[in-house]
Amino acid sequence: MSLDRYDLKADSNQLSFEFFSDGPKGKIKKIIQFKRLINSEFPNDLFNLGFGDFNDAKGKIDDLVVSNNNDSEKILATVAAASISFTDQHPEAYIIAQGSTPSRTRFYIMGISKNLKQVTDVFEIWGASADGQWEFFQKNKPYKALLAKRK
Amino acid sequence: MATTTASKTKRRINTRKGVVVSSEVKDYSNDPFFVKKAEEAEAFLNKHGLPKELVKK
Repeated sequence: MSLDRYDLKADSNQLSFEFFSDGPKGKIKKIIQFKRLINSEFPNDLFNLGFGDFNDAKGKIDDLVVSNNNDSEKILATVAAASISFTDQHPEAYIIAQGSTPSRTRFYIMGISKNLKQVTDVFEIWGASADGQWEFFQKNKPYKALLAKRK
Repeated sequence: MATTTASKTKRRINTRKGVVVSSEVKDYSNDPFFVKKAEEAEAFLNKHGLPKELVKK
């Protein structure tokens, strides 16, 4: 995917990623974390994708803050780039993602829908509808959760 | 030397353009926020399961 995005720094396992959003509100440190979910019913390589702002004052992650740095599409492209880098190292991984709020989940869905060809060239994507039923991702449907697997 | 210092903190190994592996990056997996998010994902999957084509036979 060749969308405009921020440079990323990753830990050696490529499970934790950092980057800085840069806009009218200044530089804001963002963290992306792929955390393994361990359950005998799940595939062995199932990870949750978490994403949030690093709050320096609190010394912890806060994903409910609204940065308003006018770079939301660039941020989404950066999260996608981190997912590609992560799956370079973990090619069998399944990634589940849910926004912290319904509006944020809608934003993810809109971002994928807008770049569906580029996304589905790289990943298989499923969406879970309001009743929890999974299906292959369809543009702009109101999913509650998304699941991705590298092709 | 600056080059030596940089090599201790940053190294490029099988990474994509624009991604640098760095020992400066912490492991955030135990941050309470990410722990909570993982628990929420597990709860969702326990309730609704996975796409049928991914369920272990």
